[in-house]
Amino acid sequence: MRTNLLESTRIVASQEQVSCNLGVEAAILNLKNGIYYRLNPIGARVWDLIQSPRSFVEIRDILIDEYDVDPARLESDIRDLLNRLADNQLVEISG
Amino acid sequence: MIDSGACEPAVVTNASRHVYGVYGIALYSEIPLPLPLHEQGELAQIELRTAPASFFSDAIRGIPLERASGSWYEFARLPDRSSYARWRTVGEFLVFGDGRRIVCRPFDMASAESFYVYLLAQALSFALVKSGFEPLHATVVVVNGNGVAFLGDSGFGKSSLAACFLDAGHQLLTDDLLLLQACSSGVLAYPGPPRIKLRATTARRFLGDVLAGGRMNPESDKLIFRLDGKRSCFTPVPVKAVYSLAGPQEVVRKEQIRSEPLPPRQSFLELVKNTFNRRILDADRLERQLHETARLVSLVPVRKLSYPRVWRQLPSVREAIICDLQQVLEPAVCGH
Repeated sequence: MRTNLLESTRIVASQEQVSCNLGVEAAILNLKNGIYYRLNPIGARVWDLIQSPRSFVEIRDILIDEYDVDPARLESDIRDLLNRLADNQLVEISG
Repeated sequence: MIDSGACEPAVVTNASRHVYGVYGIALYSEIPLPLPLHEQGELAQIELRTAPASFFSDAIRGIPLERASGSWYEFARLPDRSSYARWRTVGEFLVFGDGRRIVCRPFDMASAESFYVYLLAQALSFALVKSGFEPLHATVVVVNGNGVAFLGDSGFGKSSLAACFLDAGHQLLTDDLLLLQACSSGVLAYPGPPRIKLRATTARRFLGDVLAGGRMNPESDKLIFRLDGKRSCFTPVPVKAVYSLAGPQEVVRKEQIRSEPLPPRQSFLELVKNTFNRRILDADRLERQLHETARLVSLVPVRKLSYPRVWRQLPSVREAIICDLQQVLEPAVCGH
């Protein structure tokens, strides 16, 4: 299900997961269902950022600052990633 | 119901007449086992006892058994965190919640060798995981004092490749279950039972006149071969590399032997995929598995090994691995 992520929407990693860094990538284990997920380097950076609650606009602005990519494309990719994390109960979204 | 919380520490009871060493564990057993006697410092103590059929039927009364479709293996989680498992025609096992005691019963039709295999791998894996270890499904050979582990599903050729190493005078550390422990100098692999499971044709080719102890189970064509002290290593060795074997279907017959390093993400997945025990799924265990596996990835190189499944190629695969190891240990060797 697609969540409408506003600029002010706050996102934080769920309590019911554990994760680890694998070089520049990351693995997440959903403790509710025992399923592993992997994140590419940019996904791993997003994951790192949402270890404490952040607004969508904060995440977007930090990444635009760090990566040399088209801002519109980056924003779309972040939305996509956060929605997939939400679909798999790996993040909590509020506001 | 069994009260594992009230279970006394598994230091020898009167019933534990034998003390063996396997996987770095001191196994206090009521029954004799084909294992070396326990001699050195151990990672944990586990007690093994036998019980009559009524003990098991009482323990699982009213508890549904899980069974995969077509499988001859049944499993139950008991409310006190004990685990029950049984393999048709082999035996049944109950592992206490703290992992310090296994109660077992061989079925009448089971051969002793087959029972030992399931006891010392499948059943013991429950006790190891409950005791805080993360066993892998792997076969390990010893090359110049270093362990080389082969990962892969059943039928991928781990044991056949290991037998080819034995043929060249190397030793087997373990076949099936691998227990690893990080230490100051790296990662140590611990010795398993001195036996290997092979098809008769593979054994004839690589082991010569070693006598088979019996079938692994009635549905398998693999036989169990006990190994002598020359062919088995009884001390922990440092692990220098882990090879994940490509499945036979992934490799075409004329393909070259290929060994390539796996990136950390892929290494992690290969190791998690090859856990020995997929039944214990509580959050504490899963969390530990994640962190232990990530740690292992950071300490030991994991490589993907592809080779055609042709008999005469196995010695070349062995030599390629030995050359690979020299590169891992001494980058100047082998022309790199």
